[in-house]
Amino acid sequence: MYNFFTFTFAKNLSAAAENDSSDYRYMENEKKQNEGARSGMRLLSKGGLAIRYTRFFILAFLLVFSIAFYYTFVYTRAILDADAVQRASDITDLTISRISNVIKPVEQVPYTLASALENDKPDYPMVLDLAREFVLDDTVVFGSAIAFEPYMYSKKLYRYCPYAFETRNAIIGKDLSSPEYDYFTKDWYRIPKMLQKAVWSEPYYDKGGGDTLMCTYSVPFYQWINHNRVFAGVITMDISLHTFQNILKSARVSQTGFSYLMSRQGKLITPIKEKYLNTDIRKLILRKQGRATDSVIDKMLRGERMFVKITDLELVKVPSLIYSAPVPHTNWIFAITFPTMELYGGMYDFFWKLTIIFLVSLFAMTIITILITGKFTRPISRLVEATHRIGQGDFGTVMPIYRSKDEISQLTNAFSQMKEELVHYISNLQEATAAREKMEGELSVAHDIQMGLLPKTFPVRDDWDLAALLDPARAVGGDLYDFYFLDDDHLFIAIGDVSGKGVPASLFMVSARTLFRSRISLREPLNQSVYEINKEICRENPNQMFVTFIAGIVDLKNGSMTYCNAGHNPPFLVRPSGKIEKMKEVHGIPLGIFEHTTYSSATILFSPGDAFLLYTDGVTEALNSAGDFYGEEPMLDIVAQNHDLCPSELIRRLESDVVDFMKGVDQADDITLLILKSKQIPTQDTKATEVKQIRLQNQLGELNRLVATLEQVAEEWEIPPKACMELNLILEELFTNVVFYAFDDGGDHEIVVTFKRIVHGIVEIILEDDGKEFNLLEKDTSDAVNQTIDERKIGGLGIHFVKQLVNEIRYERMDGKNIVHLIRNY
Amino acid sequence: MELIEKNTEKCIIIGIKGRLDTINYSILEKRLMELLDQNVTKIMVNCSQMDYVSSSGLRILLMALKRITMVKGKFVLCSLQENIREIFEISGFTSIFEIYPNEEDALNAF
Repeated sequence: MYNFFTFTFAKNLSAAAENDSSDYRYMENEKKQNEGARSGMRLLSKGGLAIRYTRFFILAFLLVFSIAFYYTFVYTRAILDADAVQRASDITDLTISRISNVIKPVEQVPYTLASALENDKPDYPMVLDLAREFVLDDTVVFGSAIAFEPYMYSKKLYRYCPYAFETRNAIIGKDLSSPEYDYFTKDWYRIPKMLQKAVWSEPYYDKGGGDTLMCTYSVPFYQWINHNRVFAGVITMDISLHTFQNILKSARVSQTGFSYLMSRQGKLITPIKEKYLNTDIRKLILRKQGRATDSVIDKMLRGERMFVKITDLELVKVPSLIYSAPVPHTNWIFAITFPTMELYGGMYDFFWKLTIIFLVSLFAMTIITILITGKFTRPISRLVEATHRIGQGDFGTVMPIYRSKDEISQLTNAFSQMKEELVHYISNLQEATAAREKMEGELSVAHDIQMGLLPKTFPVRDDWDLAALLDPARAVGGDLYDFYFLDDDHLFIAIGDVSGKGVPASLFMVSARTLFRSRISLREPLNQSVYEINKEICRENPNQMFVTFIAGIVDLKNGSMTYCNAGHNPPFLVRPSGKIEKMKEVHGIPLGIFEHTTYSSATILFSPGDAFLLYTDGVTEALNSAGDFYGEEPMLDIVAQNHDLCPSELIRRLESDVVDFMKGVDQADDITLLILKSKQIPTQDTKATEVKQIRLQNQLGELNRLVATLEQVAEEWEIPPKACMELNLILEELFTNVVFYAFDDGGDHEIVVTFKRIVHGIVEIILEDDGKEFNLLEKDTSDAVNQTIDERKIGGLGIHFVKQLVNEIRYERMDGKNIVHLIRNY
Repeated sequence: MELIEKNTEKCIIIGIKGRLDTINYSILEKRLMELLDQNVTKIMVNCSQMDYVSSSGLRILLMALKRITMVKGKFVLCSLQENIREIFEISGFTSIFEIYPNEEDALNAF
């Protein structure tokens, strides 16, 4: 979208402007356009909307399904677990009751026999017969022994232990007692004797006895001797452990599941394999995560009813579930084991199939999603194509029609609207551009007119040379320079800088130029003309603009120049030696600021080779790309190095240096330079300055001597009669003023008048008196002229004459003296 | 300075010859005051031979003009030399005084 906008805008701009950079812009647009086309194709490609939405959709679907799958899995397993526990518990209870049924009679019989033996006179043969019968009848009991304490059966026998056992439906009887088989040390005898109660022995292999693996139930019996109940021996019932194998074989939960019995010490009574018989179950723990299994086994052997998962028991090899419970009456533990796989096998199978179904449907779903989103994004692709055609400037492109009222249709409408607005905008832009071109055309004419106002060439002369330059920052500018001849011997030069820039400044400049062109004349002192011009400018200056200004009148004959600087940059006087003097004197504020302000002036004298340099701040304040000012020094360096060049060449050097300095930056202000150079002064007197002095008393009669001296000087110095008369008037007014007002004491005072001929055509007159301080320049004489007869006062006129009739006037108070310097050209 | 007086039917004509300055203006002042005291109300000053005038001289002419104007008389100048005329212009007197190029024109004004 952004690319599209810039493209269209830039293209039309460049088309309208038809400038050199349009080719470049066009190439850039081609690039952007290609990029745009590619992005259109991308809708169905890797980064396209369809693929992106499908990917997102599939990921979300996968996540949701996985959570559901996991939950179902865990839940199903929990149900299976509960079911397995229930079945294991049921089988356990059943098995235990079957075992109990076997064991109960085995435990009952010895008690009956024991109580029978507890008589005063026990009938041993009968008991032995009973035992033998029981062994014969009972399928479980393998054998039975009655072991007597020493000499308890007969005073003759130290040890006696009749034993009956079963072999292939025959009962064999024998005496177990022998020095080799010391039954007193056997557990089945020792433990019941010690504990005084019946006990089951640990399983053992009875070598020399039954020669088979067995458990023995031992019940102690007693006899009354001298009214004392005395331990007499132990009646035992041996159970062949093979008996339980048959019961346990049917106690299974799953295909490869099995069950077994353990003693409390952990010895396997009925193992699944012969080699583990009588082995401690704890030795069968595979030492991987031993400790947890240890504690589980410990709990199991303490007789707790429990259901655990075990993975590291050598007995079962594969991860298995164990349900265990104690067998009542005995110290045995029943345990039933089945592999986890078999319990969950069906469930795993189900979930595996479910996963395959899911993946297949996911694939189908992906295809469907891609197709559907592709259908939805197709209008966008069409829209992209259409906008590209518009981007290429084809505003006749018809936007694709899309009938539904969804966001895509809104987007299409927005694009259509944008197209219309672009067409409108571009036509406006074309109008504005045309208007600007017209304006620029007019400005170019204005530029030509303004440049046409400036004098271009200075006549080729032997004595003087002048060159000037004005380089406006815009089409028109507020700087000005001017020069023209007032008469054959007098040249007027001027430079100015109007506040502000552009058209307003240029108009103001032209009006200022018109004013001084019409006002400046040799008949009026320059400062008076400047005063009048300022007044005129102030009178009609609604925008409070002003112009800094230097004007000078050069006497081409004698090389003197009277100039007035109204707030402009100080000009420079370049001597032939290369020495540069800065003319810092300012003779008033810029023109147009304040109506009631006066201007003075100064007179300088050119020697051959001297050059007068005028410039505007566009030169010294030219900026480079770093934001530094060009400054005064580089300008003066160039002037000093090239002072012997002619003005036009020197100006070219200065201009090129400033232009180099500004490289890469737009010119900020008008650049104006003017150089006046004297090559030779025709009538300049090389003789030393002539001086004439007269000392006068403070009496009116002395005026005659003063006039006589003036007339003598005028004759010697060839001062024309008119100038002489005016000098006479000036001197009379100043002298009588001093005589009348300077002294209050009535005493004699001296007034000194000095005449100095500076060159031919310029005379300086200095009046000195030691009267009270009086600065005639501060006396306002502006009212002296324009009053009516009634308003007119009789005084003040004399000082007005003085100010009007000299070229330059200066006052100073020094050593208690009033000193008035007058300079007058003639 | 020398004053040359001439009586005509219409007015008294005073010709000034030479310089009119601070030293001798009182001569002119004295004579004009005498005429005014004799109720003369029509005076012409012919400046054709006046070489020089300073502000003191102008002051006397201005004073005479004021007094005669007060009594509704007439005071005119004629035949100013070019240099003198410039002085008059600088002082603004050309707009106050009635000035005629020659005596004949001036007489016609009375």
